[in-house]
Amino acid sequence: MSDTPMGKNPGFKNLVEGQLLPQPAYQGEFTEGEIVTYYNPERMTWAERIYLPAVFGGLKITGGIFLRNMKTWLVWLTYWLRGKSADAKKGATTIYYPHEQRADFSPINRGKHILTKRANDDPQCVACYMCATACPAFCIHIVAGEHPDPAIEKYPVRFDIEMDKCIFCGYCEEACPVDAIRLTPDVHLTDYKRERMVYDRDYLLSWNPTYVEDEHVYPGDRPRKAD
Amino acid sequence: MDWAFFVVALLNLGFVLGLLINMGGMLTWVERKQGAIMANRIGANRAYIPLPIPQKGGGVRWTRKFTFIGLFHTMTDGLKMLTKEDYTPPFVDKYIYNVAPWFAVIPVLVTFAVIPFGGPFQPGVMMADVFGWVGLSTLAEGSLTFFGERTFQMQLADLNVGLLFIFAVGSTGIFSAALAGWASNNKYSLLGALRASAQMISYEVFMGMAILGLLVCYGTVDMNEIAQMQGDLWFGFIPSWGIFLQPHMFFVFLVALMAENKRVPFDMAEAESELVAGYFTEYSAMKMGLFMMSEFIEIAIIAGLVVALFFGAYHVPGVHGVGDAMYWAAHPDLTPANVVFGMEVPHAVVVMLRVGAFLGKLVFFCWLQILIRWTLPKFRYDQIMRLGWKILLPLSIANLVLTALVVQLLA
Repeated sequence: MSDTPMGKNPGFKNLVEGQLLPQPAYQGEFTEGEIVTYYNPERMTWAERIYLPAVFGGLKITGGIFLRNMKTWLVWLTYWLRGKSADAKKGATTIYYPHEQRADFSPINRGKHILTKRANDDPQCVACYMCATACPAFCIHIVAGEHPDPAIEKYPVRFDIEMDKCIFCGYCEEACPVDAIRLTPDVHLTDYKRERMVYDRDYLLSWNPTYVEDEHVYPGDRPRKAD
Repeated sequence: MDWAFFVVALLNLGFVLGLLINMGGMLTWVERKQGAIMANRIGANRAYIPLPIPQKGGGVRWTRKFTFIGLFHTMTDGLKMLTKEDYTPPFVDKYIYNVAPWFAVIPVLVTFAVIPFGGPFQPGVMMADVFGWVGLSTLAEGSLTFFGERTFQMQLADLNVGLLFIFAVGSTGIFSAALAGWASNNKYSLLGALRASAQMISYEVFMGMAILGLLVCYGTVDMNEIAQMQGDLWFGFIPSWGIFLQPHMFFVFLVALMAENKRVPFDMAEAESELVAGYFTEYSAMKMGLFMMSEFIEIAIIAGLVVALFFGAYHVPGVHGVGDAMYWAAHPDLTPANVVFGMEVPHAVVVMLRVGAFLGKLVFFCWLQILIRWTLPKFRYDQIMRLGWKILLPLSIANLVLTALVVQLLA
C-alpha cells in the first residue's frame, strides 16, 4: 500500500491491515456519461464524533496550566509575604513595562537618534542633506545656515526628525559623512501628543553622554585613538 | 403584619441581589484573569487606588501600587460603561430598542429567587449565638424575642412550582435577543437575533427533558424539597446528591444551560468573527453593559442551578441543622439538633458552613464554565443544531423513559 499515492498520505496511517481502503476515485477508463463521485472517507471515530473525550482532553490541558500557574503564584505569595518577592520564580514571562524594563537590548539596536557634538559643543552636522535624502520615510527636515568657520561651511539651523514617522532603518547613520547622526539603543519613545514626537535639533543634541562611556555601545563605534 | 418574615425576606433579598450583582461584576474580572492565567499571561492588573503612605520625615506619599491583583478593574469597567456616550442610532425603533436590555437582565435576576442557598435556618437562634459571641447580650435577647425559634428558608420564594418557575422565567430571555435584534434595524443584529432565538428555543426543549429524569426520581419540582432530599447519605457514605442519581444528565444539562447563555462554545448569537457583536451590535454604554452583565450573572445562575439540582445545594455531608425536616423524618431514632459529624454545635456554625459550602460550589462551577469558555472553539451553527436535536434530545428522552421504568419497577 505504501507505493500507492494514498500510502504516502499521513491521514491513512492508522488504517488497519485488511480493512476496506477508501478507493481512489479514478480507476481505469472513464466511460461516456459516467459520473465519478469523489468522496473523503470518514476519518472521525465514534469517540471523536461525540466530542466529549476531546473536550475533556482540552479541559485537562488548560485546567492543568491554570493550576500550575496558580501554584506558582501561591509560592510567589509566600515569598512576597516574607518580603523576598524578588527571589521567587515568576509565573509569566510578561514584563510590567513602566516598572520593569528590559536591560538586554542589543547594543546595536537601532532606536532613538542623537546628533553628535564637536569639542566646543557645536553640532558635528554640516547640513549636507544626505541623511534627509537617504531617509525612506522622509522624516528628517533640515534648514542649513552659514557657519562662521569657512572650513565647515554649513551648520543646521533646524534639524527636525519626526520620530512617529521614522522606521529606524539606520540609513541616515550610513549616509552621514561626518558621523553626526547616530542611532542609540533607546526604544522608549512615547508621548501623549503627536507634535511632541517631532524631535528638534536641541533635543537631539542634548543626549545623555554617559552612554558613550562604555565601549562598543554604538554601531561601528570602535575605541578610537585620540587624534 | 408578619414583621419577622418581612425582615427575613429583606435579608434574603439583600444577600441574593448582593451576590448576583457582585458576581456579575466580579466574573468580568475572573473571565479576563482566568483566561490570562490559563494562557501563561498576567491579565488585568493595572487599575489601582492610590494609597497614602506616611513618610519618615513627615508628609505623605501617594503610592500608585495598590492594584489588589487587578480587582479594581470591575469598578473601572462599570464606571466606563456608565460614563460612556449612550448613543441611540437614528434608525432604530426607540421604544423596543430601549426596553430590550431589561428583558435580558430581569429574567436573569428573577431566576435566582427559587434557588435555595442556605437551607432552613432560625434567625433568632443564629443571631443570639453571634451576638452572644461578641458580647452584645441585649441584642442577642432582642433578636431571640423578635424572631423566636421560628424556622425560615434561605430562599427568596419558597414556591412549590420551583423549577417550572425557573424554566418559565428563563425562557423569556429569548425576548431580549429577539427584540434587540429586530429593533436595531441592522442586518447583523437581525441575524444574531434569529440565531439566538433558534438556539435558545432548541436547547430549552431538552434542557427540560434532561432534568425530567431527575424530577422523576425526586418526585417534586419544589426546589426547597429537592435541596432537602439531597441532605442524606446512601449506604452510609454516598451523599444523596443528584449527580450520583443521574451523572450522565448532568453533562447534558450543563451543555443545555451553557447553550442558553450563548457564550463561547455556543456563541452563535454574537459570533464576533461573523456578526460584529450579534444582536447588540447597535447598543452602546450601559445598555450594552446590561446585556453583558446579564450574561455574566447567568453564569452564576447556571452554577447555582447545577449546584441546587445535582450537587446537594447547600448540603455538606455530615452537617445537619435543626430545621432539616426531611432528614429528621427519615431518621426517627435521632433527635433534631445542629450536628457537624456527630458533634453538636451552635446553629450559627451550621448556617455559616452551609452558606459557605453553597458559595464554594457556586464559585467552582463559575470557574468550570469560564474554563470551558476559554478552552473550546466555537461550534458551527449546523453542529449546534445537530448536537441539540439529533444527539442530546433523543438521549434525554431515552433517559426519561428508562428512569421512569426503573423508578416504577423499584416502587
